[in-house]
Amino acid sequence: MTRLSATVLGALSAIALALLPGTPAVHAAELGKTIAEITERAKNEPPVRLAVTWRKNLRRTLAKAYKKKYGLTFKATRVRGLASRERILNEGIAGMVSYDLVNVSGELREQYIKAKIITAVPWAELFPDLNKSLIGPNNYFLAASFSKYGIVYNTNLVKGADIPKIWSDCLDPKWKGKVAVMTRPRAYTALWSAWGKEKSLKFHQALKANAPVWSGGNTATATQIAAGEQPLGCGLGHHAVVNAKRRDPTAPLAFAVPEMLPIQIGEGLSLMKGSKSPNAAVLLAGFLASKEGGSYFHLQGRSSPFVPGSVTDEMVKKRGATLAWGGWSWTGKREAEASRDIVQAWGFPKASRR
Amino acid sequence: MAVSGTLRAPGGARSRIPWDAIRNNWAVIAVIAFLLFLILVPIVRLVVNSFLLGHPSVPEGWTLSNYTAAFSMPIFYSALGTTLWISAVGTFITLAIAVLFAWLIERTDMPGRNLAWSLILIPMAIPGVLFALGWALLLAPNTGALNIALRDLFGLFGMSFEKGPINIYSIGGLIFLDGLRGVTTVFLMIVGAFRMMDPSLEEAARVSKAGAAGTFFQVTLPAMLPAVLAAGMYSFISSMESFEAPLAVGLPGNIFVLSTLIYFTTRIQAPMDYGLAAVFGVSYMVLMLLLLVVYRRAVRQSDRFSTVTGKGFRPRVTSIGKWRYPALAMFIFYFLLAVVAPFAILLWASVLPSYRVPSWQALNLFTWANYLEIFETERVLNVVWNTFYLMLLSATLTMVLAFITSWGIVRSRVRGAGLLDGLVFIPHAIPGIVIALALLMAYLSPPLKYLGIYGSMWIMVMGLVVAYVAFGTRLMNSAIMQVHKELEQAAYVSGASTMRTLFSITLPLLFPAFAAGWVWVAVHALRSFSIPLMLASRENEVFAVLLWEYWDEGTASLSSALGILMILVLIPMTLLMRRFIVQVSGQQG
Repeated sequence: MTRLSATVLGALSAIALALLPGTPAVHAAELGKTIAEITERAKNEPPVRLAVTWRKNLRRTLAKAYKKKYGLTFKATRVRGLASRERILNEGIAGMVSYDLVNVSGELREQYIKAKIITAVPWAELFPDLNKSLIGPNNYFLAASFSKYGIVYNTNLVKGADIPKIWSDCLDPKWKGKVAVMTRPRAYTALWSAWGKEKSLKFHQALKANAPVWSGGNTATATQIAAGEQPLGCGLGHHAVVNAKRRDPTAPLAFAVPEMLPIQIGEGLSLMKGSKSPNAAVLLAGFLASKEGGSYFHLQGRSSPFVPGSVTDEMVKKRGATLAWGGWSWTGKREAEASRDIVQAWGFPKASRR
Repeated sequence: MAVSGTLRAPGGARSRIPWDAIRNNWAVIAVIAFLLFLILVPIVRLVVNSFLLGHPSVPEGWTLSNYTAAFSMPIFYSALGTTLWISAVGTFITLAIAVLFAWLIERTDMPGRNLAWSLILIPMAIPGVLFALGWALLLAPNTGALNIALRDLFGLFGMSFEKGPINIYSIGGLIFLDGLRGVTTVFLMIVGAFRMMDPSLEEAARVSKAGAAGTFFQVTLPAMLPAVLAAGMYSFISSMESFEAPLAVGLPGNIFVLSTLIYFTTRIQAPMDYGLAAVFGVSYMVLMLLLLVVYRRAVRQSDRFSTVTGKGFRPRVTSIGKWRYPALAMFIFYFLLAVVAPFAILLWASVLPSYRVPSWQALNLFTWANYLEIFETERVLNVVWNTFYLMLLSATLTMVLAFITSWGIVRSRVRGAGLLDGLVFIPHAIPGIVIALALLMAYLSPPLKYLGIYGSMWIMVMGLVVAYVAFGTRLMNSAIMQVHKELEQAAYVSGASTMRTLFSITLPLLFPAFAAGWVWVAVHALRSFSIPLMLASRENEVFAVLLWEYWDEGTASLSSALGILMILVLIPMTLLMRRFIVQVSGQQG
């Protein structure tokens, strides 16, 4: 081997090696057995790395509150939609543990368990005051906030009697070609759990016949509605309105609560296997799911409907609406199947032929 | 020029298995093998995955149901039809504009020709996704700034429209974007032919009293036709691969093309279905390979009708008389559509808290907050560094691998050199979205998943190297052919090794071509979209991914601010590329 050959190949290999550290080696820390042990161990761990949906204002508020309670810090990265959670799933499979605590979407929860990249935590034992309905089956997930979905409209374009009040208003021919609908049907999978298959499919076929405008993210759609591109959107999250108004308080947006308010877990938190700060992460998750931690989520339009007096609770009471939520048993496979049937009714590729 | 020389084989004896050549050139062979590994392994994995159920890393068994499901879906055929239709009409528009401007700029006395030559490159500095987003803001049916202006204008004549009159979220909108986007590339592909065309053909026509237009349509255009058709075929292939505009403008209008169908199946739709996406990917790839075969035939055909001869001449400039200024106006109009309009609306959106239709009233909301937010965000710093890193590494690795591989192809007379040439050209026909999907599947499945490459910058570099190596080898093949092997032989005689000869003798001689290729890949890496979007993770996020994320999240103003900064970086790089293009064409001409 000549010197130059060796140099060229060496340089190429060096570049390759320089790039490989993108996959950090996993040095997992151990989770304490009791809350006292966990609290003690957490003090020696690096800041918790989180993948959550929080925006800056909520992040700052929660950081202060968490520090005040435990004297610990965290570093939150914003995730949204399915794609970013799918990436974390893929990273976990490839051995990358970039986060300690991850917000896992309902449609992906079974995949996370199947890929063995998350850890079960005895939440009820560690935090006896927690509302038990917040704990997912087999202790893999802990719900910290809830998203609620309804009808978002432009207050300049939709007024008085035209303001939609019930879900079937979205099917009104006067809105033909004007209703924004997200391609990820989170609102409708929650409604499916209340309506059942037959009523749901009938609704979605009629919705498709009304030529909706398909859209991507919640906030993106709300922004389009605020700009006047569409007068209203059906099945959009209340948090989208809150976020759009936070950025531009003059945005002409409002949220109508229909007769049935579908809710989904907003933050379904799970501890990643190989976490460097499992104890601090568990403390943080427990804090977020507590009454105190949960009270901050109204900043992002995601307060729990199960906490009396919360913004969501008040909203439901004022409208006299009922909640549509299938509970934990509805997330995962059943939600994915409902999602598949809905997008098929809309004419999109049907996935998962198992 | 014919391929000359062989790989270095001391002694000159050639056995059935050229052991001496292998021994002396093992480093070159290793590099080529590495490149083939990069290209072929993901393709094989993609095909394998099309027969698997479940996530690539935890497959749930073999099946043919992915194929039966895909081929029984009406949306698959409609996406295929839409892709072909948009590409065909878009290519026609691209060709018409590019041929016209190539002729006007190279062969006529249109005023400002030199400036026009530089300006026509600027669209390359606007990434496809920004171009589409800009036009989405301009021609959204209800709130598009241009649509509102048109409605006001028509209103003056008593015509009223509830919305529109133009809807960018339509097949027509996609064709419009596709037609405009490809002009620069096709212009660059054919402008050399216009410059080098033997003017005696046109002179003969003029002597026969043909006018400028008659000469153009009856002499110039037919003479250029093979080159134009080859460029058209290239443009058609590029349009077929198009992803940014169909994502930004097609999906909101419920218009699927093949590339967005794959993205939708693996990134948007729940539950994600990799098996189905693999079938879409394989079908897409097969279709593109067939087109590639047609393209290569078209290129070979174009060589048979060469009007560029060894005879010394200066291309003749045709006077277009009274059409000089209308021609210039036409160019300015094109430039307005391709650059000024989308740039202006992005600039407008970037200085507002959220997008508002342009008006004096909205101007009261003027703010620099979006730019400040970008500079204050720690994540942006990482993204800038990652993007720079990606650009540097992709360009360097692509061109080094292309240079060594091309040298192996051109200098070798062993059987299989042609096959190797074909293999490294294959990625040219594989759309970026399919390359990304194939890499994702390959590096999430055993055994390659244990390398831990998924999620690192390395996987993105690999994707871009695979995507651009075909361009690199084309460029280097033709450059190496022009350097006679006797210079290299002199180095061998002096005891230099193959690698030393390559890097000390051959590469310096080819530097303009190498540098032109490097800048081309760097510019494309910087604006690349589909590969980073599919392969991004927390560790390897780049500019385009962040930009799309901001847009998709509803913060069009932040996305626009980031886009404006990106364009400002890309413009000088694009103009630098022109310098090298001129050098290379001067050298090769």
